[in-house]
Amino acid sequence: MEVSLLSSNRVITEVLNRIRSEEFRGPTRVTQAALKALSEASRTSSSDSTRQFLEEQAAFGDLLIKTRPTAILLANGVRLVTDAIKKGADQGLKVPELKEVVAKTVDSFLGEIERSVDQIGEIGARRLRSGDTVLCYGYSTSVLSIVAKAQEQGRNLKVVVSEARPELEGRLMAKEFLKLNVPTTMIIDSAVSYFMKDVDRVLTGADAVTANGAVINKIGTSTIAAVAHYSRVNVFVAASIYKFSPETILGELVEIEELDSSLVIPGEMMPQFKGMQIRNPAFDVTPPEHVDLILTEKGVIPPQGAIMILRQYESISRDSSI
Amino acid sequence: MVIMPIPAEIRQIAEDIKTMKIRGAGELARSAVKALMIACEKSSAKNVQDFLADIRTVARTLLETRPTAVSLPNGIRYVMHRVRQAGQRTQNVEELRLAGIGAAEEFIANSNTAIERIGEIGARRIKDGDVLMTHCNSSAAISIIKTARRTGKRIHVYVTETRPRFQGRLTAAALLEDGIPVTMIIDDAARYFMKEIDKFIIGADAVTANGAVVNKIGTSMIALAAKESNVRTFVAAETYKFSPETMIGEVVAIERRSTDEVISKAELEKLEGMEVKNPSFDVTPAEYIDLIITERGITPPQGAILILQEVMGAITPEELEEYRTFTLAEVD
Repeated sequence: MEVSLLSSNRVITEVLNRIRSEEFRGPTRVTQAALKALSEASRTSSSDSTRQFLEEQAAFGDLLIKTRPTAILLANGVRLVTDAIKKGADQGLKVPELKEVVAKTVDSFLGEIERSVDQIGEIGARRLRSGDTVLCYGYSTSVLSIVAKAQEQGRNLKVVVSEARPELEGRLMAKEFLKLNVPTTMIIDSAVSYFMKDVDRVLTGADAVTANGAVINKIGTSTIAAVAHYSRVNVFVAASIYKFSPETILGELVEIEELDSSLVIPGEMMPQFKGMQIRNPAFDVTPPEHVDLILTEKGVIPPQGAIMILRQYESISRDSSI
Repeated sequence: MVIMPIPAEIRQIAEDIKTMKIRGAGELARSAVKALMIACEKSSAKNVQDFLADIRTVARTLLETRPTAVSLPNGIRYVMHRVRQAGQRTQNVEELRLAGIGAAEEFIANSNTAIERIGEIGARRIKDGDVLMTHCNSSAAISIIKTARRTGKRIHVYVTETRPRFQGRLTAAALLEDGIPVTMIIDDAARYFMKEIDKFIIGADAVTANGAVVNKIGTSMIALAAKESNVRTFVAAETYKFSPETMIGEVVAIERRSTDEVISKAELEKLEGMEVKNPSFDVTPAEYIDLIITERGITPPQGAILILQEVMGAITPEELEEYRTFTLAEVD
């Protein structure tokens, strides 16, 4: 089923390739691109039965989720779409009407993401003081939104950007900060501890937040949070409530992908290291004890409040009992 | 008072240190001490004061090469401390000469076997089946790991790549050579894998009077992750890495290296206005360190002050000049 679907759907194949080639930085950008593709695949679908349409969309959704299993925002978005289709089908809607349901659900979710990024910006900026030096790590749309908002309010921030090996997303962040005219200093990840005494706050995004308030984010985040914690520097995590993982309520663990080893050592150098193993996990887990606040579009919560968010916003966790 | 002109041989050594023809912490120290030994042999002083003045002149010339490792001033201090002590015991120049030559020979012999001794002592602390982690490229740490392997212990080593210059690759190659299983990870992944690690073993560029360890940038973060995970941190350090100037309150100055190591000039141009900071080392506090393995045996980090007093002697006001701080920089 998967193979034939893939070869038959250009839109999905293309977006999968673009996600795999790391064209989109940060889970928000990945989710936006993936959901737009899902909507487009639905619009152009040639399925004639409701059942076939439903199966096809569910399969596309699975493929998209599997490219980034850690991106809970994407999984939650896809789940909203498949739920809406199921509900529509139960009400007896036909394929053309279901296509409309998909388009509407995707549009409204994308709109919600946009709004949440803005709201996180508003809320997060309030937590930054004038003249703060903020250490940022990994690519995060919400972090950019917060810094942009604070800058707009004349908060005179300075940022320290850690480069984020192996893919160096820090450089993309630096570029955005410079556009906002925020004084920016680049350091290597290993130098975070050295500079922590000059830092007032650590600010990162999240790929996922678990039921116990642990934060899954770009590899290295947990080390930085530990250093910050022991240096009494506050760690703020910017995360939409759609990043909270309902599966973790049921005890599921968030799967951590490993990236290609050639990102660590170029392939042509490998013959010099015969027999050597390379491990390259993409994310790590920051325990709730090392996180001071999670900044969501619904307000600021301590990490221990993650379970509350998951219970409160039932639309996310409704399906978790299945 | 007649001060002898500095012999050509010594001037050559000083020149080679300055031009970095002589490299590596151990080699730097041994060369400087050899120069002092030559000074002791060649001094034509007739009394103790003149002899001490001759040696001091040479010592100053060597210190003025502005060494980038603590080892060189330490070699000099080692010899000077013993010559001075002898000067208080006797008025006989020949006895002083012998004391100086003896101290120099002792330092060189010690330094030559230090790495091997550290390997033997440290290997006793490694258990069969241990999974180790190391950062950067330390010959003392590698000596421990290799000796443990040679004595039949099955070990596996996680090696961090060590941005920005990837010295972890040198370590990996050295361990693979001896058939030791190696897993390479990025520095950021050290905490992720800490659950699998039994011991974190590193070298040191300097050890301070309070037992803090100055080592390759990133070390302190990994040591913190180790401490959090109840993983032991061992530091392998020759005694000439201990920094006596910290006894008088000096701090170790840390070199900032070229930004090119972090980001190429072409890439940096695209990020106009951005500052890049690239320090070489960081400081790991004594609380994160379980023990320091030296060629004279194992000490808790808090014992650093005892090692310093034993090897370098107490500092007198007139010696302050010799103890001025140098910027610690990478030597390899």
